[in-house]
Amino acid sequence: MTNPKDPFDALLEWLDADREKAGQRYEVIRAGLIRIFVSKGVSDAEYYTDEVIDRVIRRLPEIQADYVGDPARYFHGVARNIVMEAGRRREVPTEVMPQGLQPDPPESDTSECLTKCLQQLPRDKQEFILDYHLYHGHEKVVHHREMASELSITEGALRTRAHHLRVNLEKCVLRCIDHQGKNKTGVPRHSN
Amino acid sequence: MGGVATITKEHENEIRRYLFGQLPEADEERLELRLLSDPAFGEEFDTVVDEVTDQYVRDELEAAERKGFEKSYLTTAEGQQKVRFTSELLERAAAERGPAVVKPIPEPGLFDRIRALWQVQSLRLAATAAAVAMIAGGAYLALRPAMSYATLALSISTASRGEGPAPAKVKLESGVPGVEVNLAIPEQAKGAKDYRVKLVNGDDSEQDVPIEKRDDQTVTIRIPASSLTRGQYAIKMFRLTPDGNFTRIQGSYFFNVE
Repeated sequence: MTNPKDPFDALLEWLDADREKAGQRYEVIRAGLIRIFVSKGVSDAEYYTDEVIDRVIRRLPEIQADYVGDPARYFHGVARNIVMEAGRRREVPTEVMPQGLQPDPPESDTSECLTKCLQQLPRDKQEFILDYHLYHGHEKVVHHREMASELSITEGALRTRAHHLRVNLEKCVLRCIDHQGKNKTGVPRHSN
Repeated sequence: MGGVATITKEHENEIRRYLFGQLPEADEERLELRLLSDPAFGEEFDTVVDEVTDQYVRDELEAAERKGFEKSYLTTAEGQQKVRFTSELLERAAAERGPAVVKPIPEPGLFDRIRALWQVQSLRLAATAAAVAMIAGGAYLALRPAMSYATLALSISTASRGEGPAPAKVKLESGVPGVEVNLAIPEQAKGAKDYRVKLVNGDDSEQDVPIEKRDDQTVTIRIPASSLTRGQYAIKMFRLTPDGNFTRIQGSYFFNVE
């Protein structure tokens, strides 16, 4: 039973009358906002994504009745404003790549964590993900064609398979680095 | 997880230009709205980000693309972490699955040696005077079989001996003076002022091996045939750190002598 006065429920209702579909739409919007913020060079994308959602929730009672169109467009407008605000607040020059936005984990942490996370994969997946990233340029194209042919799948399916594996591997490495940082300092390195 | 989509070249180019900050505002808005409404497109987007990051790490982007990526995506902690992960992943792939090149490099022939000598101006006169003697000596040298080092090109592996992919193999034929080994310096160890190399034998005994030459990418050593018998070998590399100490670079280079 949902409480109609709950602002988050009101947001979901605005996204779609069907709660399940509304939940899915919410997740897509959230993931999209994170991608936009990172692409626009806004650090701490998750924080700003929450900020967008909070602002939309706050404005919802005023706009909900008369708003026409896809709610995603409204989120987009708010996100654009935040990108501009963040740009104005940014103190670092953008001509060079800043190196110290947050303390880098030691190289050995990433290396150790990658080793651990690879070991958690079945042998064939370990080999697949490493093989996939073996070559570059024209050799990569030829190699991926051969891999797809050996696996009897299309090159597009190969690419998707590699991407899913890589995403999970990267998440595992991030969790591991975070865990190691916590063990060393008592404070997690990443907030997410 | 959104549906699996095969990305079109057009979408890919559009996403790339967005990441480099090269997309007109109207197209940018359209792309962002799609990111907020189409989960399959979100996945396509992430795939392109991965590929652009690969290209960034491998220094394959054009200058304007590189600059655009650095000015936006890579200013974020998320982007920088992605670069670290990608760098490690590509290095690991090369180290554990990359092909080891085994090819003999012929020593300079007699003709090359004479030509090199001839190019030294101050020795021309002496060379002329000694020509007869050299021709006689040259005839002798030409009849001897050419001596050449077997060569190996190895990448570092973090697997322990006996694990991971099969190590590179080298066969020492009779008369081969030894093995020239080109060791790829791992990304995180590049730029050190000096390196040190140790050969680890099958019985775990170690010996220092002098470095023949090195550049930004590779350290080359020569191991005399007299130091090698059939069996497994590992090579450890150390780099000079700013505090003046040599620190072990994680991992080893493996090869087998047959």
